Amino acid sequence: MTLNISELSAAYGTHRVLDDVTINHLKPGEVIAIIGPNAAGKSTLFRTIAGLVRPLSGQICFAGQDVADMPPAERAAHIFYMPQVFAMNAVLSVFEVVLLALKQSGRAKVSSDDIGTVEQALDRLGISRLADRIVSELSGGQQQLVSIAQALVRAPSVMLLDEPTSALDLRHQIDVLQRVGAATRERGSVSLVALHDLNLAARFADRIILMGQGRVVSDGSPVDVLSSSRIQEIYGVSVETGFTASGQLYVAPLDTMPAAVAAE
Amino acid sequence: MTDFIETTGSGYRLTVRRRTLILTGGLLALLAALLADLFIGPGNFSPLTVIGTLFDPASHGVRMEVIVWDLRLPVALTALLVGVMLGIAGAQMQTILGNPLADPFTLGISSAASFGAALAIVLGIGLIPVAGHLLVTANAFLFALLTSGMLYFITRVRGVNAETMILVGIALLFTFNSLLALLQYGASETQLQQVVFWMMGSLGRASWPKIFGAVALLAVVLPLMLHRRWALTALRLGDDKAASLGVNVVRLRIEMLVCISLLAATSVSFVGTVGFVGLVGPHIARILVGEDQRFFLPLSGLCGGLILSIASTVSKAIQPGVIYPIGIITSLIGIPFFISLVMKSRRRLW
Repeated sequence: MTLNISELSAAYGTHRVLDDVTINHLKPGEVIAIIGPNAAGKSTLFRTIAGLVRPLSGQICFAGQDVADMPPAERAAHIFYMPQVFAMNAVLSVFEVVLLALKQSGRAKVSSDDIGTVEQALDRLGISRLADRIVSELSGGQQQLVSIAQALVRAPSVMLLDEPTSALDLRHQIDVLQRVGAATRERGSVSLVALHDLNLAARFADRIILMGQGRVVSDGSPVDVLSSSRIQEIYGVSVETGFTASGQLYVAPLDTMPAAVAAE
Repeated sequence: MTDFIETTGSGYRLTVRRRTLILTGGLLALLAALLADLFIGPGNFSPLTVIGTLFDPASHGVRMEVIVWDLRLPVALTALLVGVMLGIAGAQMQTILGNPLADPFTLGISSAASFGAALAIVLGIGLIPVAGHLLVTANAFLFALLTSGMLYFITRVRGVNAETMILVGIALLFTFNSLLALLQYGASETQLQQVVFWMMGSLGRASWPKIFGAVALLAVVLPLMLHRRWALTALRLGDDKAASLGVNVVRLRIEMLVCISLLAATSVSFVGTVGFVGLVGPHIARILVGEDQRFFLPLSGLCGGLILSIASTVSKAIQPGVIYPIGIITSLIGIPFFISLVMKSRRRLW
């Protein structure tokens, strides 16, 4: 049950956003961080894998089957995509929104098991006390946690999380990524997580894919990918990389904004 | 930990039970409104006589049979059914367009119907050759459907999303309004009066074949919508989110557009333009049960039916012997109730 992406290209109109992207050898239980500057093609990559954008060329195979041939419901049962922007303005409670994610792929009738699954997911993420609240009344971070809960209840083979921690405080950033890692390992699934925070990527990813201008620039272990020269080249920022006393890889920006960016 | 687990699930179960209760209450209220609508009318007959005739048509003589079965029941049922149709059509229009201002007529369907009706009244032109007053009904229906068809083909080119649908729909609305004004400008005084009356909405054109038609339509449309209940609920989280959960968003929108068009076209061709119900029915339902379509959809229908049923009763009760246009009464009695509900509700309205 694995995902293979080969020579994938995609465009919005005439503007090419993904250029010959190949990602394979995804191992069960692995968390892969997708990093890269704004407009590097991270979101488009996810949207294309999830079937929201039609690829220009290339192939996405899941368990040996081309996902382009799968009906949307079947594809979504295997591959869960959490969009980056998800201001939810429905008059639905948190419990209902999470239950909804579960009911899209299962039987239409709500069973006791369904209710139990939702309870558990809310509890795991520490948002049980929000269960009865209307989602549109929650903060961005809380809504993000609700989205993660949706991912957890669906238990997909592939999770595509587009900046799942962008609105979360430090504690929740760590908490969410730990849970994603644990769930991924538990189920032997695969999680692709787009992140802007390179230190979070270094800490939680088993593998990092660095994208720039729609292409895969580098693909490998955090230590291999996060070299200061490569980050300087792709982000245009001088950084210092090294290891903390506890052996954790870190990336720290060195100087102020480079002239090219400052002038924009 | 265990405490939490028990509270969230049982809290949800409690909510479901409360909503089931609200739905049952709505159904009972609708029945009561239907009876009240049957009881009130010219020639003060006792409720017992009316009920007696309802169960045994011959029990109180031929005159009562005609009054109840040929006059009052068709009108009362038409009010109820049109209300239900507009309620659910409005609910789904708001859902697929993601817009609280949407109603069954947002996308120009009622202006097209009015134009079709006016075309028949003023110029005697019909899309299909049928005689008499049916020409007006048929024209209204066909023009309403035609507009939806145009809307569909135009949006297909650009992408079936809420923005395109709303913008093209509004353009169609203004087009037909202008065409209607053009017709009215050239119409004689009598024709003008007929057109205006038609647009105000009237239950006077009720008949059994129309009622059977409406029931048949609801029998097809409602199960389809309920079959799509989870997908429709998911659509309220946004297109991307719904699509990521496996909903075929484009197909769902088109399906619902077809359903809404049929419901709105049928309603408007039966009774004229009754605007308020399709907008407010769903909002009342949303305030009471939220947007889980398992409850939101049926309750929107019940609220629509209830509003129009009460309006039908009131339109007869204001001044004995005079029946005020249902379109006018509906808004006038519905608005104070709606505003009070909006003011009282502590939850998000949209």
